[in-house]
Amino acid sequence: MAENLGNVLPVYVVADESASMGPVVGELNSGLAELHQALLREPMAAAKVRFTILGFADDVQVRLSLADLRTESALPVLTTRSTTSYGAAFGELLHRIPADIDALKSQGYSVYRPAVFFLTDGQPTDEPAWRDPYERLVDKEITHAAPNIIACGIGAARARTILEVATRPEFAFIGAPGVELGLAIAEFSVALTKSIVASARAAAADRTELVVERPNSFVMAVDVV
Amino acid sequence: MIGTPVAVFEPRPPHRTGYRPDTAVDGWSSAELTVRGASVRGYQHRHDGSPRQDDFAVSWHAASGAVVAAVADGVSSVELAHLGATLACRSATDQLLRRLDEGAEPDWPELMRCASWALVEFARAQPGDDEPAARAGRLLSTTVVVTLVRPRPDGSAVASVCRVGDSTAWVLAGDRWAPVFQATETDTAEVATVALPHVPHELRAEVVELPVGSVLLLGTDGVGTALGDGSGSVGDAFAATLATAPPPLEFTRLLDFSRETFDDDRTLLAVWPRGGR
Repeated sequence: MAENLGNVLPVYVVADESASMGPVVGELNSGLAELHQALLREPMAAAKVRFTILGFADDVQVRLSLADLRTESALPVLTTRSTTSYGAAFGELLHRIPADIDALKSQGYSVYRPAVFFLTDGQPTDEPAWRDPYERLVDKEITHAAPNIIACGIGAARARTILEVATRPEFAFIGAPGVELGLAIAEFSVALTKSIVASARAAAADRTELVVERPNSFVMAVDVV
Repeated sequence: MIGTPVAVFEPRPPHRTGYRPDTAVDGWSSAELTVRGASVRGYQHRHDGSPRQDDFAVSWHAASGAVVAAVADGVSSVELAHLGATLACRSATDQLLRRLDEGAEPDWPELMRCASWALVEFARAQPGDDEPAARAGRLLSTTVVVTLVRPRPDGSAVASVCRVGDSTAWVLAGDRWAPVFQATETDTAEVATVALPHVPHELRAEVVELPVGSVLLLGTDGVGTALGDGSGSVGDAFAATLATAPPPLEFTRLLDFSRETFDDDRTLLAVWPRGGR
C-alpha cells in the first residue's frame, strides 16, 4: 500500500468568461481573491482542498490546476472572451476529473467526491449540444467520481437552466430580482468560501455530504421558477 | 511530526462547554497488565475552538485482575458530542465492572444498551420537545469500543472487544498490525452510520489472544485513518514506540503527532501483558 496521506476534496470553479461577463469579471476576480484569503485563515481545511479554476467561453482555459492554495501567492485572473459554450466546460470536466483523481490517488490520497462551482451569467449558446457531455459527467455509471455541481446564475441566467445544471435542487442559486449583479457575485463568493471550508470540515468528520451556505439575498432557483 | 506537519498555531479555547481539557492522559500497571491511555484534541478542533469530542475510560478490577476500558468518539455534528463520548465510556466500563463483581460473563448487547441509556437519561434533562431517546441521538451520539482484558497465569492475556460504530482495535506485535475487527463490505457500510444511542441488532465481542510482547490498542478513527493498514510511516512510528510501554507523556506525545490532513481528535488506549515476573 502506498503511503497514506489522508483525504482531499477536489474543487473546480468553472467560470463563464463570455463577453457578456465584462461588467462583472472584476468583481468575480476580487471574490476569488477573498476566497483565497478566507482559506488561508483555515489552514486545516485548506490542506484538504485541491483547487482548479477553469474559464470557459467557446473553449476552456485552465487558470489553475489541483492547486494547494496555501502555496499560491495569488489566484489567477479571469478574463472575458466570445460565446457561452457549456459543452466546452462539461467536456473538459469529463476527462479532467477522472485524470485528476487518478493523479491524487497515485500520490497516496483518498479522494472525496469532487465539487464543481459553475458560475454563469447567460444561457448556453450551444443548446442542446452541451447536454450530452453533461449527462455523461453526472452519470455515476460513466463517471465514477461524478461531481456535485453547484450552479450559480447571475444576470440573464434563467432559473430553469441553472436548475438543470445543478445536481440537486438545493445546489441551484440565482440572483434575486432587483439585486445588483456585483453584489450578487460578492455574496456568491462568500458563500463559495464558506461551503468549501464546510465541505472540507465535513470531510474531516468522515461525512462526505456537501454543505452549501445560502447567501442572504440569493433565493433558491426553485423558488423563482 | 510524521511527514508534512500541519500549520503551527496556539490552540484556541473550546467554546460553549463545561471544562474539557485539550488532552487527557492516564497510565499505570497492575501486577499483570500495563495500561496507557491518551485522548488529544484534533488540530481542526484546536483551530476552530471546539472541545475534544473523543474520550476514554479505563479501570482495574481487583478481584479478577482484569482491566476494563472504553474509547469513544462523539459524532461531530451533534451539539454535546463530547459529553456523549464521556458518558458512553464511563457507563460502559462501570457496567462491565459491576458484571465482573457479580462473577458473571459480560453481556455485550446489554452493556451497549446500558451505555445508550446513559445518554438518554442525560438527554432527558436537556431542553427539547422530542422524546428523550431522540434527543439523545440529536445531542449525544457517539461511537464506543469496549474491552475486557483478562491476564493468564503464563503472563499473557486474552481480550474481548466489542464496538458500536467505527472506533476500532488492533493487536500490535513487533511491527505487525492485526485488526481485531475484520472489515467486510457490509461492515464498512454499516459502521459508518451506527452510533449510540443506536445499537446494532447483532452485536458480539471479538476474542483475541495477547501473547507476551504484544499490545492491545483501542483507537478512534482519528487514529485509524492515519494508521491505515499500519504499513505507512504512522504505523512504523507507533510500532517503534509501543514495543514496550513508554512513559504516559511519551505515549501522549506519540499520539499527538502532526501530519497534514490528519486533524481529527485522536484517542488511543493500550494494554500490554507484563509477561509474569
